[in-house]
Amino acid sequence: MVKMNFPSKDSGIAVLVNVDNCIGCRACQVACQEWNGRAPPKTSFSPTFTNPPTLMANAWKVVVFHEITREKILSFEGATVKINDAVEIIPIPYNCLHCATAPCARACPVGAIKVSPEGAVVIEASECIGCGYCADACPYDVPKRGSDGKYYKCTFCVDRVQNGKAPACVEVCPANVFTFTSMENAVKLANDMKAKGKEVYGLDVDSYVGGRVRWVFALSSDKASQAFKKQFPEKAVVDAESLRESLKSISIPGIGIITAAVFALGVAAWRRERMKKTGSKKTKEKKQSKGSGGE
Amino acid sequence: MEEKEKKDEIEILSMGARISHTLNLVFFTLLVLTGIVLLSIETFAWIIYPIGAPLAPLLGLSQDTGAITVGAQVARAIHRFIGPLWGALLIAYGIYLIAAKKIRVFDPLRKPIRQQIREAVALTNHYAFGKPLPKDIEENLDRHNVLVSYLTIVLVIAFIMVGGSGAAIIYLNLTPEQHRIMLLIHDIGFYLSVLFTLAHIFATTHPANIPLLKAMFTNGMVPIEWAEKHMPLYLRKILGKKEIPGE
Repeated sequence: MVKMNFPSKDSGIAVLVNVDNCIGCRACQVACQEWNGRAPPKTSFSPTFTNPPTLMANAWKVVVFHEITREKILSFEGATVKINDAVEIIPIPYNCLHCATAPCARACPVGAIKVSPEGAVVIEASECIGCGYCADACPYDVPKRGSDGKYYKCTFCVDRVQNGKAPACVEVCPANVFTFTSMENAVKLANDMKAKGKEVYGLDVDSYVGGRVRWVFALSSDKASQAFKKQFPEKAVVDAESLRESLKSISIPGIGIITAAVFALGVAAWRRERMKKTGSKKTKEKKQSKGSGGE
Repeated sequence: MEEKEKKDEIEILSMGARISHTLNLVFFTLLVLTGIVLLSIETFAWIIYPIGAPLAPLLGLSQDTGAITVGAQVARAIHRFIGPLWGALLIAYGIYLIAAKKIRVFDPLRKPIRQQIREAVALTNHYAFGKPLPKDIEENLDRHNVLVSYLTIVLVIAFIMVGGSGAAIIYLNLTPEQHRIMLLIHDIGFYLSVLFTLAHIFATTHPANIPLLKAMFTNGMVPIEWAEKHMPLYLRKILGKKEIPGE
C-alpha cells in the first residue's frame, strides 16, 4: 500500500451525473476520445448498444446501455394502457469514478498513479510498469491494459481542469447530464436530488475507496433499482486486495519486530556462550592456582 | 553420508546438498530483494533506486520518479526470470531427492506426537533461553530435529503457495479475480517463507550450531564430538553401533 496524500473527500472537484437526462448520444464518449487523442476502437457488435462493450485503454469513457423492465402506463385521449414489463434502455455514461482514496493509486508499486490536489486520479503512463496491480485493486473495473503494456484510464481531464475548464465530456454534453462543480456543492445537489426521490450512487460507498467517489450518479429510484445494480458493484471493495493491504500493514512491521526479537535471542545466546566459556576458564585458572599453591 | 578418513570429523552435508543450498541462498535472496520492492515500494524503494537512477535518464525519464519506475521494472523482470528458473531447479532437485530416497528431514515426524511436542518445546527452550535438554531427548536427536521438520513443512507450504501462484501469474491468462487471488496467495507464501528464514538464520547462527554453519559453507564436515551431541541417534544409525561413537 503506497502511502499517498489524498485530498480530503469533502474538498476538491466532483461531477454530478444526472442519468435521467442522458439521451445516450455518446457525444461525451467521442469528446473524450478526441480530447485525449485516443485512437477509436473498432466497432464490435454485442447484444446491447454499448460500444465498445467495456472501458478500454483507448476508450476512457463509455456510455453503457442497460436494459431494464418496468411497469409503464400509456395515456391517450382518456384511455390508459398498462404495460407490465415494458423494456426501457437506460444509458449510463461511465468512466473512472476517481475514488476519494483511490485503491489503484495505493496499489501501484511505482507510484505512477498520481492524485492531483483537486482529487483527479491520473496514471502517469511514462512511469507505468504494466504490472496490473491497479486493475486488480479497482472495484469498478476501470484501468485497462494498452497495446504498449501500460495501463490507461480517465484522467478527469486534469489538463483542462487545472486550466479552469470543465472535462471534455462535461462540456460537450447536449442534455445537461453533467454538473462539474466542487465536491461540497455536488454533495448538496445530490442530497437535493435524493430528497426528490432519486437514488444517488457515490456519496456513501465503502471505506476501501475512501467512502466517496468524485463522479456521483443520480437516477430516478424506479430505474436506479435495476440500472445501478447492473452498473455498480454491491460493495465497492475488492476483498482479495483489501485483505492484501491489511496483511501488508500487519506483516511489514510484524516481520521487523520478529526480526528484532530473533536478533535479541541470538545475541543472548552468544552472550550465554561467552559467559560459559569465561566461567569455565576462570574455574580452570582457580584450580591451577590452587594446585600450584599446594606444591 | 560416509565417514571420512579424518578420524575426528564426519561428513553430514554432501557436495550436492551444499551446491543446492548455495543456489537456494542466491536465488531466494534475489527473489526477496526484487519481490519486496513490488510488495512495499514505500519501504523498500531504496533497494532499486541505485539501479534505476543511472538508467532513467537514458530512457528519457526524470531521475527522481523515473529511477523508481526503471528500478522497479528491472526488479520485476529479474523476479519473473529468476522465479521460474529456481522453481524448475527446485522441482528437479526434489524429484532427485525423492527418487534417491534421500529425504531424511521428515524422519523425526515418525516419533509419537507427544514426544514430538516435548522435543519441540525442549529444543525451543534450549536454543532460545539456554535451558539444558532433558537427557532422553538429547540422546535421541536424529540428523534433523523435530523443529527442523516442522519448519520444513512451513517452507514446503510456502514454496507451493509462492511457486504455484507465481507460475499462474506469469504463464496463465488469468481473469482479474483469479489474478487478485494469486497475488494474495503469493504474498501469504512469502510471509511464511520469511518466518522460515528468520527461524533458520537464528538456528544456524546459534553458537551451538556454528560447526554446522561452517560445514555448509566449507567441506560439509563437522567434528564427531559435535555430532555426538547434536545428532546421536543419526550417528548410531549410520555407524551401525548401539553406543554413541567415542563413548
